[in-house]
Amino acid sequence: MPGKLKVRVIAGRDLPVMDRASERADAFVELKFGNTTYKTDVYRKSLNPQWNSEWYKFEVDDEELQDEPLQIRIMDYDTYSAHDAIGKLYIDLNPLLWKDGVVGISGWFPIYDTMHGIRGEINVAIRVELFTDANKFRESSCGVKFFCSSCVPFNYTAAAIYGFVEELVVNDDPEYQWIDKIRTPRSSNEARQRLFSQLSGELQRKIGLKVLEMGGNAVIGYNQCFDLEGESGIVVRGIGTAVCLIKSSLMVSSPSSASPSRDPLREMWEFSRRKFPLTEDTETASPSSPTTTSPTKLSESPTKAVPCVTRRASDSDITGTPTKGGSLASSGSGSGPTKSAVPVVPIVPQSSIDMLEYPFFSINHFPSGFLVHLGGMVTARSVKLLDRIHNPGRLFLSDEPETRDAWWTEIRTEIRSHANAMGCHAVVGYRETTSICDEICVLSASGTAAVINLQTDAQQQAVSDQKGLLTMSLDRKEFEKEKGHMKETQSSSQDGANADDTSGETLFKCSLCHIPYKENSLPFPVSMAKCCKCGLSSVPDILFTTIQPPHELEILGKGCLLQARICRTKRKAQGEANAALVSDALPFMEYELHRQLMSKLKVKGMNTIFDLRVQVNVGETLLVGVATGTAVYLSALPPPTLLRVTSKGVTPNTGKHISDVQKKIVDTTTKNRDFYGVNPPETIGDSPESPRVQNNGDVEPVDDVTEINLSSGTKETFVLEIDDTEDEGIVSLILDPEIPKGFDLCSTEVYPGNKALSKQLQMFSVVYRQTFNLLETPNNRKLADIFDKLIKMACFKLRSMVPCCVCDLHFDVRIPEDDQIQIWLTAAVASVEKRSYEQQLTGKAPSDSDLQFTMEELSDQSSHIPFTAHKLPRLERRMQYIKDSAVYRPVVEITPLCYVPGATIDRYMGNINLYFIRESTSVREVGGVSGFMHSFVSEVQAMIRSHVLALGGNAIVAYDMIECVLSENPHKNQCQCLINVTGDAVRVIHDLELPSFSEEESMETCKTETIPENIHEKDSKEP
Amino acid sequence: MYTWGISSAGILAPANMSDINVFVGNTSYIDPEVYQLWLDGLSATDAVYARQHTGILRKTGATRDMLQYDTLDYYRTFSMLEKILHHPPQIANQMLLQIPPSTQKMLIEKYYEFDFPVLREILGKKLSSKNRKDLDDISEKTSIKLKSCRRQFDNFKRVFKVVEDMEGPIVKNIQSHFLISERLAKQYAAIVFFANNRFDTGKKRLQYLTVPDFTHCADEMIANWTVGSIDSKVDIDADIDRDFLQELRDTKILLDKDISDIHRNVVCSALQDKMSEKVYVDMESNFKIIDPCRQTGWTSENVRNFLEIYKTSCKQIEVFKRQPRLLRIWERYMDTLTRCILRMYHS
Repeated sequence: MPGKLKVRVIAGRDLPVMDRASERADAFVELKFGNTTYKTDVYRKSLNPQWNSEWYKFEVDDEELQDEPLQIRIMDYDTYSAHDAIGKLYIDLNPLLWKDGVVGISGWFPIYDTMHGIRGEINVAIRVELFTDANKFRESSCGVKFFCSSCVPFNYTAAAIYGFVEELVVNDDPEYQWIDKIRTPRSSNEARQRLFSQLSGELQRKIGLKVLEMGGNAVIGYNQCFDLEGESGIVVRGIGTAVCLIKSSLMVSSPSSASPSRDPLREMWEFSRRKFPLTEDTETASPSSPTTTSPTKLSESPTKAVPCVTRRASDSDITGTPTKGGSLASSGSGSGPTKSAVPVVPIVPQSSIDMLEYPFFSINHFPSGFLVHLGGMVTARSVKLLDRIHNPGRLFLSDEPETRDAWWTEIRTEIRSHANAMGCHAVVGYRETTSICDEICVLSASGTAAVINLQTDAQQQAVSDQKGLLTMSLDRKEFEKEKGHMKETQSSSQDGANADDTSGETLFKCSLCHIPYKENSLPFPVSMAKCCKCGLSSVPDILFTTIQPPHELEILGKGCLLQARICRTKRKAQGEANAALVSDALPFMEYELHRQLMSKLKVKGMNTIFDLRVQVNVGETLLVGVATGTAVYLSALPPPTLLRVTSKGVTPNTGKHISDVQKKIVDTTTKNRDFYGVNPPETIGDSPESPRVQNNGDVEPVDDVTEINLSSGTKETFVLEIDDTEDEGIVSLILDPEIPKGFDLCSTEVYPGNKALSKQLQMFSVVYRQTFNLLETPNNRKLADIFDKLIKMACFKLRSMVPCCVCDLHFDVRIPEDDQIQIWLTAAVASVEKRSYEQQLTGKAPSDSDLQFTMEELSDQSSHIPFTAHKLPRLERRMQYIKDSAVYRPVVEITPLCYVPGATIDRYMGNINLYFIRESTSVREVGGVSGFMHSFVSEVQAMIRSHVLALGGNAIVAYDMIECVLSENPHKNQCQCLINVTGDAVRVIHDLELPSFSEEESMETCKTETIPENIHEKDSKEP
Repeated sequence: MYTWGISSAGILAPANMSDINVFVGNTSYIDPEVYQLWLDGLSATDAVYARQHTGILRKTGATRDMLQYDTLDYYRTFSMLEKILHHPPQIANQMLLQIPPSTQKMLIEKYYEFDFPVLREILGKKLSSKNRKDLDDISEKTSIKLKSCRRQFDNFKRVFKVVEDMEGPIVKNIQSHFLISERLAKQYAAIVFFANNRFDTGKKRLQYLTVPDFTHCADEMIANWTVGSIDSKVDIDADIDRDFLQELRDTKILLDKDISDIHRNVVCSALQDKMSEKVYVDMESNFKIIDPCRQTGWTSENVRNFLEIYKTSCKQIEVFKRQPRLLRIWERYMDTLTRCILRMYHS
């Protein structure tokens, strides 16, 4: 399928002065794609050149279009010597290959130079024309859409979910090539940036081919990362979930979403206002019972034969026969079997879960009815030795991927068997990560074992549309139970005076928590109880998961961020010995992390963790493990028992001490239960423990309580043993400092409780690095202090926005040097709407009064903030500050969430995956490494915004800073950093236009913002 | 606690240069208070102290450490912004930082805001690099930080360079190129006007005059004495109408002994009716304006009357009667002068 790429260079602005004498530049632009290069005329003596070039045309192969970025280089003309580079721009053309995607890319882009940063801007317009061609043997996979969002995209329905796709590509790292010794840092950086872009394109093309073969047309929950293995090269890995997406039939993209509740967009798959059809869908056999586990297995030998269990053997042919037959109809072109009316489902055959070699799903939000039971978290890790000997130049390229493939196969197989052991046939919320330190590479995979139903939303929707409240449940009891629930919910939601006819359908399904395995079948002991909702099935006492809170589960009160941090020292070693040391240490870390999580969870008075991510980082002498998740109280699970403290060597002294510690824990737990509103219902258990403790403040009753809990059928209660000072440190670690007033913190994308995020106020990234001085050994306390400080610091920064929720808060940890720890975190800040769960479920829009309330509160709160005006009257200043954060709508919204709170995604414009390298040889002059990083991160955000705008979007969702590698040579005053960011560019429609400020302001913004000349809609500029 | 050192970029960084703590938001919200401290030329360390004095730590529960990092974040943002602020229209185009329009306005306005004492010192001086070097004297005299003095000096110079040869109304020009408020633009217009026409505002006798006095006078002169004032055709606003100056020479005949005497007599006789004897006597004896009037304790009402008559009485002089053109010029001169003198006439 050949195509034509057309590029036009319009103008430049605010270029740097390239000629000291004239204080101007003589700029021209060089366009390069594949082997073709074009140059514009030189625009003399101007910092704002107007090239207004013709359309340059490149005849290209679609394979090339997928792999190669368009390179735009801005140069300064020099008559006598070599032209000077002003900067470069790489443009990924993949969004233009989507079938119903954007027609063109057009707008202002910052001109970026790896040594100088942003130097002015350039306005270009790009189009691609593809000729249709049905070549069966093609190597390209044009039209397959990639979404980082770990959900079914809005306005789309998943007609079929085909499951796991993965691919990896290996290459040399230009940074380590011999030529790097003689070329300039700039060309080396540019070579690297270009390579990253190419590898990423190639990887997506290869994954796309697999998707087409399966009959899909898109990848959701796409997760791509680079392993910089140093001398042994670069590994690019991508995993995702192949699906067949069809446009939602009712989709109307009119900005007049005055009544969002009636807007069909909303009815699809929204997290803040959810509803789901009443269809129970189990052909799954055993509704037995669940728990939590994080089994760890370590293997050192890189190449082990992979025993493939009951499933089909090889990756490559899995996609072949079973699904292919019917899928040909959709021809992989991306359009799918869309009829303009109701999605016709049968055309797309859904593969059975048993046919999938790896029944893994990289998504975290699920269509209604997808999840049946949750087993618990599964993890597998493996320590590998990056072998340099097998690296004879470029030869290794052919066999290297296989080694890496084998490593991952091993891990995936292990994950699968863990899931099987829990009676689950699938793993959801699946994620793969690596940690590399010199020659040691730790591969990790984790997910949540689950029983799922692949008959998706679309099919059910069709059914439920026809038959209303018909339930397909085969289980009579289940059906009865559901009905009971429904009545409850109905009655409560009627108070909300909600005329929406869907209100009756809302209900929670406790069955998700019911264990999918036999109570005694697990290889490890688990405490069980009867489900607190239906009382019929067994549920575990604690549940750890890697997914977002499913809307089917009822959360009591509100949840909070929960984090465990562990660091361990390790001996220095080389090669195999080193790998062995790491392998030996990992289970202990895992155990400690688990213990800390459990203790903290209990102190919070909660019983479930969502979105749990465990990172293990390896340094030369240091191991750091960080587990971050969001704790909640699921009403279906039994109330958590109190954390009990014991000591083996009881002396009168320690006895007193122990009881003091116990009292402290009880007090904190009580306080937390009140604060988070997670006091268990009185009916549960024989003694409501917390009130009693509160009354007399005595420790005595507590012991009773724990004993009662111990005797009440549970096999094992979580007990904290304090035998020495080290153990005592643990107690201080599990008591988190108080969160500043007005803040809710969570790692999840939805508010963990009975409220919804109403408007995004800010998105921020923090880059932090600390050097431990030589005398201090990093320990758990110091590590915890760093994280606590980062959280407190972020809250201080955001204090003008309270009350607000800092959500999707994620920490990435690295150990760049042995005495250094580097952390970067990203989060969205959103205001919280006081809506009941029913309102959310029925998709009722916030009324105006709700909004006013929020704003009032905001202004009220911010009056605490001391702004002593120097020159403006106090009130005016304060008003301005409030106005800015509460009403201002950024030109481009960036959010790590897969939706924009307070807005509806109207259209996906394309996947964005950008790599930047920045280097400086004058670090001190730019304000040190902090100054360097500050400008670099700002520059990266600026580049993202410009790419989004040029695609015609106004927001980027599922934004993630995947990598941030910083290396430094303080003696040479040098610093280099690589950042990789991804996300989905979208166009959103905001729920409420606030006429007061926003109109006037957005007008202003419009004026100043370059509006791409409507290239997305019309062809007027075409010659 | 850290010790702090100044980098050559003027940004403060912790002595332990390898530590990083950087917060970057998609939208850059600016705390106007910290911005003011930066504009005032405070170092980051001093700014932290100044903020601490507002009781911020107590009110927010923050630590000093956090306040330091917060201040540094702002300071780094400001230094990224500074280059852009030199060309204010760029702030809306630039893509580096996403700033709410209201904040953009605030950033520009405050950046171009100046301190009267500093301006008073700079006014009438050549905006040369030599004088820029002497700013530490001004800084010492006004006790305004050198950094702030430099910013203000550079702002004057930048505005001057841009609008000095530009056609059209000067205030409008400044506003469109620097996006500042009319109030501020008028003040800059005054500076440009004085600098362009080489008014010697540094004279000892004029020392008591304040900046608003000067801006008022400049405003009057721009309104009446420049080409743009009578002719709406495009012209340079910063220069006094050359023809007018030329013509004004013709009125020099008033300085002729004879005519001057006649004029004086006419004025005096007219005044006799309106003024107290004492004033009249003073007036008669010396015919200078502000200083003498002040010494003798005239009220501004007195001065006004005097100037009014001084102007109108010319009509009675033969030369003026013969040349109505001369009279028009005289009136154009006197009207503005009167308003300027009245403004300047204060203690």
